[in-house]
Amino acid sequence: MDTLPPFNRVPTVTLAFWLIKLMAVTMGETAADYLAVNMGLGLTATSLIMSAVLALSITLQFAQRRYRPWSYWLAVVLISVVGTLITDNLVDTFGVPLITTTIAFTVLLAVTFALWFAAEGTLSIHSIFTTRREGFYWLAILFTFALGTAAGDLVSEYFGLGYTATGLLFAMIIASLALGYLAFGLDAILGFWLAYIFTRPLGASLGDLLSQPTEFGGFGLGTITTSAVFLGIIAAIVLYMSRGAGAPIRG
Amino acid sequence: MTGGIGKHMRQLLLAIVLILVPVGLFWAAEHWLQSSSPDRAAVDPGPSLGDLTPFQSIAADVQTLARTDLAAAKTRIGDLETAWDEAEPTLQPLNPAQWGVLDALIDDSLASVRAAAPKASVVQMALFALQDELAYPGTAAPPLGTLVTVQGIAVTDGAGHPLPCESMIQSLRSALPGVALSDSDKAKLADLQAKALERCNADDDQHANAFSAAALALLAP
Repeated sequence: MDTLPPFNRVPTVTLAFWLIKLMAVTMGETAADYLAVNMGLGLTATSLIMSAVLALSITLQFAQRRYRPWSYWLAVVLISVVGTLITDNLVDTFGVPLITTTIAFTVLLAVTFALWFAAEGTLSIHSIFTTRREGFYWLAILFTFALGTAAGDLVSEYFGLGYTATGLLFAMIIASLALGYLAFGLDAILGFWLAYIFTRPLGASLGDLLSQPTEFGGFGLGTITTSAVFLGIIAAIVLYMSRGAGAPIRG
Repeated sequence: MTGGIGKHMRQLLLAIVLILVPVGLFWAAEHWLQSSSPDRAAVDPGPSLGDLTPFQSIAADVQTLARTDLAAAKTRIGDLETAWDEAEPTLQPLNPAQWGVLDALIDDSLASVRAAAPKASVVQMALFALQDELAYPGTAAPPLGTLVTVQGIAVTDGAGHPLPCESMIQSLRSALPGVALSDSDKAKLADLQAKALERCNADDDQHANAFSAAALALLAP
C-alpha cells in the first residue's frame, strides 16, 4: 500500500469549488449535446471516444498523488460529459426507462458508499490520502453524475415543465440542503454528496436554458458558445487557483 | 458520519425532510397553477368562429404536399390565403381575438412555405401549430383528457400527457428498416429525426413528439 503522504488528493470544498462544479456540469450537458448531435459520429461512437479520453484523464489524476487543480477539474469536466452521454445512450439507444436508470444508479451509489465505509471506516473527503480512497471517491463522483442526470431527466419529464422551472426546483433543493447544513446541523459529508448529486440537474437545466434556441424557450446561445464560454471561465479559475494556492503548477 | 445508529437515522431523516420540503412546495405550486389554468380555459372564450373544417382540410393538404412537392404546397397554400381573406369580413367580427391568433398562425405558415429556402421542419411545425389552433380554437393547448394526434399519429396518452419522446423515437427507429424512400425523403427524415432527438435531449417532449410523428407520417404514405 501507499506510504501515506500528507497531501489530500482532492480540493477543499469552498464557494469556488461549487461554482466550478456547477459550470463543469453545465458545460458537460451542452458539450455532450454538441458532440452527439453535431459531430455526426452517433451517440455510441461519441460515448466510446469520450470514455477513452476520460480514462486517460483519470490515469493522469491518480498519477499526481496530490491535489493539482488542472488534473482534478479536467477529470470532473470529462466525467460530466461522459456521464451525460452514457445516460442519453441508455435511454435513447437502448430504450432503458429513466425510472430504471435512476433506481440502478441510486443502488450503485449506495453500494459504493457502503464498500467505502466498510473498507476505510470513514467517508471523509478531507482525508483522501491513498489510491484506494481516491478510487472510492471518483467512483462515487461518477455515480452521482449518472444519478443526477437520470433523476433530473425523470423529474423534468414527470413535471413536464421547461428548463427554467426544472432549474428552479433543483436550486430550491440545494438551498434547502445548504440551510440544513448551516442551521439544522446536517452532516457535512452527507450534505456534500447530496448537493453534489443535485448540482448536476441544476447545471443541466442552466445549460439547456442558455444554449437552446429562443423559439424553444432558451437564450439561443447555442451549444458551442455556451460550452466554450464555460470552459474558458473554468480554465481561468483553475489557472488562478493553481498559482494562488501556492501549489506547484506542473509536477 | 461517526456516532451511533440513532445519529445516522436522524441525519438521514433530516436530509429526506430537507429534500421533500422544496419538492412539496414545488409540487403544490405546480398543482395550483395547473388547477387555475383550466379555469382560464373555462372562461368563455367568446363566440365561436363557426365551422373551420374547410381551412383545416386545406392546411392538412399543404402539410402532405410539403413533404413531397414543395411547388404544389406553395400553390395549395395560396388557396388557404384566398379562402381566409375572403372569410375575413364574416369571421373577424365574430371573435376578433381568436381570429387574430389564427391569422398570425396562417401568416407564419405562409412565410415558412414561401421562404427563399424552405426548411421542412419549420414548415411542418408551422402547419402543426395552425391545425392545432383550428381544431381547438381559443385554447392555448389541447384540453387535458384528450388524445392528441399529429397527422393521425398519437403524440399523447389518453389523458393528454405527452408520450415519452424516447419511446416515440424508439418506434420511429423500429419502423425504419424495410422502408424504401426517395433521396429527398431520406434527407427530410434525417432532418426530422435529428430535430426530434435534439428536442428530446433537451427534455422537450412536446416538440420532439411532433417531429417524430412527422417522420413516422413520412414512412406511411
